[in-house]
Amino acid sequence: MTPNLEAAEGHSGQATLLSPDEISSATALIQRVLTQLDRTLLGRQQLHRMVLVGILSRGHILLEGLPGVGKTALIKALGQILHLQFNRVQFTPDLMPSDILGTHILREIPGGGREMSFQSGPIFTNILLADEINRASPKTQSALLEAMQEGCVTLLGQTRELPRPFFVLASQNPIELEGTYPLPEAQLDRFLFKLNVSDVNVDVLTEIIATRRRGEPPVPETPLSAEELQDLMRAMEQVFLPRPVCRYISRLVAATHPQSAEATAEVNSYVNYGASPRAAIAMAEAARAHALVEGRPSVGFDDVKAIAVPVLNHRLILNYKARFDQIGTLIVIQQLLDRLDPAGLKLPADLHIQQFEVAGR
Amino acid sequence: MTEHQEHRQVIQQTRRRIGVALGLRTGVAVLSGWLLIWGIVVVILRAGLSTSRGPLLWGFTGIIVAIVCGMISGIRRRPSLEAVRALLDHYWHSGGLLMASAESNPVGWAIRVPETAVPRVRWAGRRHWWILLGCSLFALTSFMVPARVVNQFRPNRLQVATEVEKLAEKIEVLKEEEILPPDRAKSLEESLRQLQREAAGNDPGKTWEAMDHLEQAIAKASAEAAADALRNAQKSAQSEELAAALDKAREQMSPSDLTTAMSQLSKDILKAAKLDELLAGEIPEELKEQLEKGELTPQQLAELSQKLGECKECNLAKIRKLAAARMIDPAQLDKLDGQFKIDPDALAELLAASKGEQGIQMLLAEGNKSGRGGINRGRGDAAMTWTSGSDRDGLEFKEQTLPPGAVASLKDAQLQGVSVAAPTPNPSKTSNSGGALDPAQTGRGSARTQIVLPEHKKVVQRYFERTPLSGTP
Repeated sequence: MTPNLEAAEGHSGQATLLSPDEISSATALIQRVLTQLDRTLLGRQQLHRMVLVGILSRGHILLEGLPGVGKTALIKALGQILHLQFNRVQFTPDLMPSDILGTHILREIPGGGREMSFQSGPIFTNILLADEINRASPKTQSALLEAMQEGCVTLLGQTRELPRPFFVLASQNPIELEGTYPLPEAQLDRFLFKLNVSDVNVDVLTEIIATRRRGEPPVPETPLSAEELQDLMRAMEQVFLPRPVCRYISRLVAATHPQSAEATAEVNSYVNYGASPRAAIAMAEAARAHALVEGRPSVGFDDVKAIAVPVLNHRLILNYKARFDQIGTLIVIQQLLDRLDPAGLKLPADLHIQQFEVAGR
Repeated sequence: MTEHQEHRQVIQQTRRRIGVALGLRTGVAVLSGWLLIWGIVVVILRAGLSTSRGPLLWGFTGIIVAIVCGMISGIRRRPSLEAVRALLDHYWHSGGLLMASAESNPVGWAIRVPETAVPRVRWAGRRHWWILLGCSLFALTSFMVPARVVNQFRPNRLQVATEVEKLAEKIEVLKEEEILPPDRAKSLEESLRQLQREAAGNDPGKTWEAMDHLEQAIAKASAEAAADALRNAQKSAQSEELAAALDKAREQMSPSDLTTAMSQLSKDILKAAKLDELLAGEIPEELKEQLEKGELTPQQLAELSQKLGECKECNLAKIRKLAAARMIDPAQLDKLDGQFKIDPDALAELLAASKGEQGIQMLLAEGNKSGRGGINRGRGDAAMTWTSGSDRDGLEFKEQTLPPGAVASLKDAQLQGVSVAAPTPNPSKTSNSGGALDPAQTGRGSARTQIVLPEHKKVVQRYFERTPLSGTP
């Protein structure tokens, strides 16, 4: 080992990774949450994991699935496990922004006078379940923009902070699209993840029927305390993101734009608009959270690959050709992940580096 | 060795392996390119310029240079340590710990490293090796192909270099002597160069025809220039001799005769100067004016004679140069010898005798001949000098038609002898075979006409009784 290399890669003055003990305690909390979620909703382990990743990333999640697959139950259980305040709003076409944000009402005061007092809406909570969000008008949908991005609400020129943490977990129904208003791109971009809640298989369904009367899920037994949640968030802040992974995320987001340097043929053919810088930021945060969920103090390329689909699938705007060829965002993203070299060596195509199996040490 | 050092060692080894593979790949590519280029160059040089194989062997040194350059270029393109670390992190599934160890302190964390830590770098370069083999074979083939095979592909050139060189020399002479205008000379040279470039052995007739055309143009210009130079030299020589003769005959001639002779000399010189630019430039204006007035001093006359001599020599030199360049017939040079030699004494004597009245050209003609004219002034081959012609009245025979009877009688005539004198007519022997119409002439309307015989003797007598002219033999 040369002295130069030693100097270049020295450890003095560098940040320290989370210790194994710290990671263990965080992992234990995560495992507790996941176990309870898995017990509440059967057969949704991967979905629970991704929802938790989204929560740890302090991001909003859009759940898409058919009615009755457990979206509301999941969010409700999450609120109970995390011991956070939970409000549910059923979005309808006649829902007004004030129905969500709150309004000022004229009220008599004890001295005989009257004053305008603010009656807060259901948004003033930690977890807001926006059920069937695409059924509300764009005006009402847009009322959520400031709350989702800034974490505050401005009414009559007065800005009010929302409780922390604040998450919006929205659901939308992919069928019965008549009379619905598709979410605008600006609002879609504010959701960290868009997760598809699929049907469960027969075994899981059998288990649900056999163990639960009227389908009522069990109440979570050991919810997280506020301190534990704070510890979890603190550990999340210390997860290390190496520079090559940052570069990989940047290259991945840049490659979603047509005609970019590393864009694939599918991107060039089917994508109208690629992901925004907000997507890269969201991807980095989600990758940190995924690494923490996996019990690691640093982010690897696999973490990025694991969260790339839910982060990007609602941010790519495909063209009509994609619709005509029945190409979805999932295929485009998967091709991108398969073809983009994480390390970015830019080696010729005929030069291969043989991979060896990792032996335990 | 700590774990961290071990990782760095593996990273460096991996990077080295990648660098070697890249260097090998680039080296093979560059070598293939060089062999291809070298092969093409060898083919071009051998087929086009008939270069021998010896100098082309230096191309082998390029192989080493190509390999070295290619390998250096490939090694320089090897990825950075950070990129290799990221690659190994990905391959070892260390979840970013290996990358993080370069930027942070991974206290308490162990990275799982495979048994064979340094990955194997494999280059699937079969296509590159085949290309290298093909390029090598091409280079060797281009080098080893026999010359006779290569020459078959060489364009069949017509060797006209010698002829073109000769023509170029002729054009150069014409240009130097200002016989051809510069534009015309440049045009001819360009045509000659084009002819040499396009001379193809497949169609020699076209080339030779074009060369003949050029040669004819040059020969025509040369002949015209030589004729002009000869004429100008002759004029200059004549004027020179005349001036010299005038100088000599000055004492014997009266001033008026001298003035007349000089005036004629002046006309002659000015006429020649119109055709000869050289002569026009040589004679000063003052001298011309004096010459026209007929008032040349002996010094001016000598100067004029000198100038005329210089012009003559210049023209003669031009002719000799054209002859030396074989642009005119060298036999013309032999004719020049003695052509301009005029006996100045005889010319002076003629000038004095003619008192300047006789034409200059006549005098020069007289002075240029072998003799001096007359029965006592030259050799027998001296030409006769005639004055005005004889009166032909009464000297020619009148044509008349003989009567048919006379013609018939001539058929029966017998030769009795040959006499220088005229025959005596014998009327008694006149034949009357024609009867009453014998003497009659056709178409006259008369039946009888008196016969008149030609008087030969009288005519001859009158011819010899003429008074001879002065100066005639």
